Amino acid sequence: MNFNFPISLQMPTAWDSHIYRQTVFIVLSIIFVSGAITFFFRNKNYYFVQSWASIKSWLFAAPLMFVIMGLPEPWPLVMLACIAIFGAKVFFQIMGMFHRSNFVMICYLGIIGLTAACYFNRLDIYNAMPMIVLGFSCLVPLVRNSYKRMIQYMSLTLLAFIFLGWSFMHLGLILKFPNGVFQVMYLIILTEFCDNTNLAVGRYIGGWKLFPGINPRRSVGSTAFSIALTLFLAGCMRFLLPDASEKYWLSAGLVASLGGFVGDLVMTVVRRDAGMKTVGPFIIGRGDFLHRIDRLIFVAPIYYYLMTAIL
Amino acid sequence: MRDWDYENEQWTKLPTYLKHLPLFTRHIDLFSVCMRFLWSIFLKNIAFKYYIRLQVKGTPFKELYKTQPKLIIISNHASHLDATSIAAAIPRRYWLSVYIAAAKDYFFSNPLFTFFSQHCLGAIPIDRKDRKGEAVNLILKLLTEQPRMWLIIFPEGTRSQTGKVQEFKRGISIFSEKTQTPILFTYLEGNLDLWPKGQFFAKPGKLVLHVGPVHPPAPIQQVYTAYKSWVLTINPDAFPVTEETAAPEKTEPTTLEKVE
Repeated sequence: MNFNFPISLQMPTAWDSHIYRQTVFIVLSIIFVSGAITFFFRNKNYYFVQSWASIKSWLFAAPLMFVIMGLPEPWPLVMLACIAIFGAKVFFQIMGMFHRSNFVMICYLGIIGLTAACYFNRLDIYNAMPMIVLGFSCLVPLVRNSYKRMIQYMSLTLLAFIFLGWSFMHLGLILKFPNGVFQVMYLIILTEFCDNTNLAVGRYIGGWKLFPGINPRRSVGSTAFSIALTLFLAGCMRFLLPDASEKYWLSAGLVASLGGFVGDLVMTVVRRDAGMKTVGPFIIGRGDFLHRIDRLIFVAPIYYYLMTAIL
Repeated sequence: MRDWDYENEQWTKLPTYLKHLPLFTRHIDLFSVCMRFLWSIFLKNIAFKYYIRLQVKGTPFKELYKTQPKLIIISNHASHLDATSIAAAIPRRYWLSVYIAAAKDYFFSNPLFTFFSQHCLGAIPIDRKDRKGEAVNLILKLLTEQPRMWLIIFPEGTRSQTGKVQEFKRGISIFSEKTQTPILFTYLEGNLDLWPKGQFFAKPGKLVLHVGPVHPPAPIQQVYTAYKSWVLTINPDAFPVTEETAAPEKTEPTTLEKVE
């Protein structure tokens, strides 16, 4: 007797690939092992406290990310849109205009528009979105019949949209590449690894400070060492790229580390000018949500155009 | 060029457990609004409809909302159901004006409870061991600056183990008199039977919320006397038999007095 279940459970697309499963296993294993080691030293000094906080966050966030990234289209894209919106929210909180709902909503809708443009492969609309957002932002003073601080609000709305919308959502365009999901994962892992490595070795490798006026913790030595380690990891994980030749993983590794470094510094400038270090912990970890994604703001568009050029 | 003024005090000057309160801005986070809406569906349309059959008697909240932009809603306190049952009786569209004074050591004791208290209840954390008057000043600031605010507070300060109404703490009178906010009397009947102190979870059953008169700002003794006389018309056994007068106990000077 044949019995057909009314709901058929299908294995999500990316999970069909043994490479995806293998990557998930390796990354989660690294997080768990490093977590198990750090756990015993978690109260030893400031750096271990920071590392433990970061690992705790990723113990929650990484499995969730992998599950959603493994789902069929459009769920990975929806996840990226949610991340972008949540990042924009934190940006508006830092800038003290989160209660200016009109501007905040325009930015959110703009991000949703970008997501739709990604989904339908409309690069022309995608690149026109900043102008559309600016246009709508200019209408807010007229609708509210007010001029006070409107230049500030319009500028910051556009900045939020460019950073957290247009730039970040290039990850959605990267999803359209061959093995797109793998490449997005590749970038996220590399940028996060570079950030944590820089923090970890910063204590032991001092030397000339790169930008002491902005971030006194980033020295030439620690940055160079973290870039070298990131390139090593990029080489080890090159199987995630559609082409495993040197020029691909080298350029990807350099973009992830250098672009991430610039993104981190630019957002530090924003935070410092606004007089705000952090909004609140991301899950239970180090820094707020924007701290976790600020590196990708620069990495995503540079990687996208670089890959478009060399693919 | 003049410096830009970033109005980010809500996010820079407040600790995590207070960021949901509109202390610097009049804004309530959209995420909180969505969570409050989902919570209201669960509470009003499921929990307090089928599991606990809530019945509301007395003045409709719709009428009160038209005439009373600010209110301190007081009730007897015998279970964890009390605050949510009063909230469930209030129409959904008024929920963003409703705040609940909740014990910080219980409702903000871990990340999960904190999340729930912030986004679902809109709770104001009250530190029961507070000696700096933070909670008092917090409520006074909100009652002064918010155009609309209904504050649910239990003047007994803790849950009654017997179900009898205990003596009132001075806090509500301070809030009421300092901000000229009237006090709404409510009385919950059946709360102790459904979820007594020490029990893990509520039992299904019937709960009646009596909505009484609005009392003008007054000293605590006066409020207690008026509340007692109103409650006795509903439930003659609501107060301890041994009690002779309605005078509240003379206790050590507390934070509330220090604020005065």
